[in-house]
Amino acid sequence: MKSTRKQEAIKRRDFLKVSAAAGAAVTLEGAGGALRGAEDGKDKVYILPNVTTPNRPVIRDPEVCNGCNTCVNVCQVDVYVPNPEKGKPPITLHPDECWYCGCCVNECPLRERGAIKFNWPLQWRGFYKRKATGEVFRVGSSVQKDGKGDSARRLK
Amino acid sequence: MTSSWHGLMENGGRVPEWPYPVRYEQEQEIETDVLVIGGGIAGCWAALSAARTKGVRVALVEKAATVRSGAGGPGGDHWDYAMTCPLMKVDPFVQCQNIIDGQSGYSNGIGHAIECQEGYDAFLEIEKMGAKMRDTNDEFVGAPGRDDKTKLVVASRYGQENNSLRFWGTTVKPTLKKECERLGVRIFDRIMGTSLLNERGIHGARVAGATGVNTRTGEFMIFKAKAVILATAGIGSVWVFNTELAGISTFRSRNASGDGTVMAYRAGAEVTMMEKSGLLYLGTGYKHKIDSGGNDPVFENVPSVDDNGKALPPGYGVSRDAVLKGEFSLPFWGDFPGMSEGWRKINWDLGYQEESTALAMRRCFEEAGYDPTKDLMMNHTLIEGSMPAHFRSPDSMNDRGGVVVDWNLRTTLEGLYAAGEQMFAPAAHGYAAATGRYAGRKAAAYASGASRPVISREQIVREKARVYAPTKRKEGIEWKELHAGMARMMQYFCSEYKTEKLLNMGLDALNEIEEDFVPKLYALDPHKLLRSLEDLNILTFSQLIIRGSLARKASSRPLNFQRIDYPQMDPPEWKKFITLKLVNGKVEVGDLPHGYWGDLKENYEAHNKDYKGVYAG
Ligand SMILES: Cc1cc2nc3c(=O)[nH]c(=O)nc-3n(C[C@H](O)[C@H](O)[C@H](O)COP(=O)(O)OP(=O)(O)OC[C@H]3O[C@@H](n4cnc5c(N)ncnc54)[C@H](O)[C@@H]3O)c2cc1C
Ligand code: SF4
Ligand code: SF4
Repeated sequence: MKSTRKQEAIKRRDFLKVSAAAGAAVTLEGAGGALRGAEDGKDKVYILPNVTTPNRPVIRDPEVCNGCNTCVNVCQVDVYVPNPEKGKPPITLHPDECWYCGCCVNECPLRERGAIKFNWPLQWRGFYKRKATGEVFRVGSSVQKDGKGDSARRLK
Repeated sequence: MTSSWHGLMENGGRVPEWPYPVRYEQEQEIETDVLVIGGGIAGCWAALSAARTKGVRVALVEKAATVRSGAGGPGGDHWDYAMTCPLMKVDPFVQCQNIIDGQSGYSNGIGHAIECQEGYDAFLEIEKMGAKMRDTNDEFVGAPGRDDKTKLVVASRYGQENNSLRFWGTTVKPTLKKECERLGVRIFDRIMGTSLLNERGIHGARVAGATGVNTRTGEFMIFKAKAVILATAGIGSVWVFNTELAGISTFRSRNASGDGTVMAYRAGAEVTMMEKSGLLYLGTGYKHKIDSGGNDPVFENVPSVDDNGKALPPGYGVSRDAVLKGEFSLPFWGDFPGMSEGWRKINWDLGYQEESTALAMRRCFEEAGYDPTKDLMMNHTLIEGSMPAHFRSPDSMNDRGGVVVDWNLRTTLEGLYAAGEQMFAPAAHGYAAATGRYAGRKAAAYASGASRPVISREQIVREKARVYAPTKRKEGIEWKELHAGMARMMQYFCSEYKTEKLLNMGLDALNEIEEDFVPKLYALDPHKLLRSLEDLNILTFSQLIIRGSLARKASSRPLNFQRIDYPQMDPPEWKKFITLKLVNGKVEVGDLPHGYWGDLKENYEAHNKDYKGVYAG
């Protein structure tokens, strides 16, 4: 049961790479979560409060993050706690206390391999304008490990 | 399973247990000579400097993790007023007087004298310890202010005179921590200091230690010390609490909750300038930003242009009227490509790289294809018809109230010292370093000759009852609502315009919160307990702001203080500091003359005859 889940997750990821290349503005985990229900319709639904806003200061790649908890222990305000399962990505418990200092990202030993990425809340993302052409872009979130990709969106 | 909390829930639907052992009520007792509370820039410097005195044991208590804690934890890019650096052109004491005059006397002359006179020594020392303080890799050759002989970068900011040295602040905190460890400082991370212990429990007597609580386990800590240095900085969210729009990101993390100031006040020390409360740019002013201060993405030396490329007057000098008349068209942009290469490098590759919280955001821009040689960055000034979103002004950094100190950086209590933003009217990184270093030296000298501390069990029992009260309840009011409620009272009753009537209503409203809501405060785990205890400090701090505001019966421009019922600006008889002190359970109002520090040079020299300059050991 568990392993089929994982296979499905990988399939989704492949699908996402394609859609990302095609310019869809989706994030890896975000879209995975959204797709899951739609795909199998079998997941249980629980009584849960609304998630806090903003709720996701960083995006981790569970395939790369080794759960070393450096980010947990460097954070000034304990946004994260260690995952009860050893070796798994930390749990984001107090996202509403984040002050966006970036230390968790900067200190991650696997940052360059894509373990963790800063995920600027939507309401704080800036705009820029290419001087030569006048085109305006909005800073988005990149889904690709190499940092290239559709991380900015051109506005009309 | 995602790493969100609800993702975890979906994994079987069971709430996992708290990840750390819970140790409410359990005690650990530590005895030391010098105890430093707050391990930021000033606290680390205080600890390592005290530890340089032979035979003095030092303990450092930090609410977060010392390696990156505090406002300067992530980094910093300019070191102000290192006036003894050969590249600086002004005499240290002349510069110090300039700063004091610039603040119309509402300044900490002692702190600034230390900053101007010893700051460069600290700068050189931290370089020796291993931080990057000059352009050793020759990346900035040819940039303005780069001195080719020393490789120091003297770079002005906001077009002002050159009195800042640039530095690579991301290297500082880990270096300070390592030096503390090398010198044998015992570091206690994730401990929030909660109260000071007076000798034999007598209010107002010599300070003989402190209590704390572990922010992850809830364990109770008792520290006995001959001298205590407070370095918990100031407060960041008296008027603003809105996690949805801003996160807890008021240019400081939530950890800056006025703890040290309130602890000192409760123990009997004097605080001052509490009425400095400033203007607020609330509105919807949480806009896109480049650092966690909500700074306009285009700050410092970046020239701004309007949407047609027309240059704006420097320093956001465009009026709302000019925008309405169409003289300038929105949005406005920071013209990075229009800067000289050297200036652009200093701003982008040094400033936005090293200035604390900007690095991760800079990376977002770059990954989104932003190129400072080609692209303008949108600036949020006037975009919705108001001023920039600098809600940092009123309650976070410069010129705020805090603890009163003398030429030894001793507070008005024996055995209690303060440094950095803990003191009234504080300044920034270099100031925190120099004053921390100085307070450490002075506290160690005192501790060397002081008797062993005697603390009182009764005071500890009382403090434990206070600390753990919120853990005894499972419902009532939680810390976030309490904080939001207090912030609203401050917005309503102690905001831009002040009158006796409004201020009294505010005090009443806060007292009501204290009497009716604090007894309902509940904390479900040690983390929420930490935040709840911070709330209680924010409450006292807010009450002190109103007390100070009521005591000042005149308006004042440098204090950003507008009393509608006392409209006269800065009448001469009110050019003084108002002090507040707890006496027999009541607030006692007093005052201190401007310039109470006397002649700067004479007094500095009189108090530092044995100062040895840059540390050789
Ligand atoms: C984004 C940003 C950029 C900045 N850039 C610059 C710059 O380039 N140049 C410059 O000069 N200045 C800069 N500053 C300001 C500078 O960082 C601060 O002035 C300086 O860090 C103040 O030092 P401090 O030790 O007084 O306070 P902090 O460094 O903030 O340290 C206070 C410490 O006390 C701890 N603490 C709080 N309460 C308790 C408690 N109850 N018990 C135990 N510990 C406690 C905190 O966790 C914190 O570690 C910047 C600040 C920010 C936020
Ligand atoms: S994100 Fe990085 S620092 Fe955090 S647990 Fe994973 S690997 Fe470690
Ligand atoms: S950005 Fe800073 S405050 Fe936010 S989770 Fe990371 S380390 Fe913690």
